[in-house]
Amino acid sequence: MDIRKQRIWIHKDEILDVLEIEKDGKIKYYSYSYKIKGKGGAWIPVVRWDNVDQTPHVDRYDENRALVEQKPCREKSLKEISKLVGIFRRNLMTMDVSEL
Amino acid sequence: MQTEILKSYSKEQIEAEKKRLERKYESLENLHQKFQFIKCGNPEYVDDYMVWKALNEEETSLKEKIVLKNLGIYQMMSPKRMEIIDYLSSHSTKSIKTLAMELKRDYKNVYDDVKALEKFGLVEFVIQGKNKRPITKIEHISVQPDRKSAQK
Repeated sequence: MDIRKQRIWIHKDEILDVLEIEKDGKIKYYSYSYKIKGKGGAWIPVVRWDNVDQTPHVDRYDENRALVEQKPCREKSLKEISKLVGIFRRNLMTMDVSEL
Repeated sequence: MQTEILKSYSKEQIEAEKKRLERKYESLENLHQKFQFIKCGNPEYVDDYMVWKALNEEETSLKEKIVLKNLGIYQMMSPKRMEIIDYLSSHSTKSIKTLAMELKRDYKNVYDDVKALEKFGLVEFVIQGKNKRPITKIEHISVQPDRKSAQK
């Protein structure tokens, strides 16, 4: 099994944290978390895509890290998410990301 | 311009990562219960659970990549800080204090440099007894023109 972690710095206070677990050349688990720097310097998740329990979905969090919305979506790749995050950045906080 | 920093974990570092997770959650079963109860309410539990479970499999590799899409890293890089990365790549040191002595530099300056490098994930700390040992897992650093597509 191969575990790949990535931290993509989009800006000094915006990152995309990536976790991919691959087995036999296939991604078994992924999570792509767009995070912003909160007060005190901690990273706060804003939007996150993952396929835990083989159920691809997108989660949205508020500034207190509370899960406020969860919607199913199709399987995502890092390429897609990286593009989305690069284009929309903080606008993701208010967008219907399950439609993208 | 885009900078990519590749880090890979040795077998010892994978064991250390498992120990870190054990300190944090006591056991995989304990974490599993937390994760089942709260699910995506705490994404950290989910990721830690998936990583720990995978680490328990044989022949699992762990690689990390840091991608800097902005030029912030160049503002924080200096020859002295590069020297620290170079030194830690080939030497084991007990603490920042020891590192400062080995590099024949002022403790405060080395401390500030190590902390700045830690911010970008270029240096990490391993707790060993009473010491916090600075280490680096960097294997490769590359700089390339910005690519529009994502990295794998």
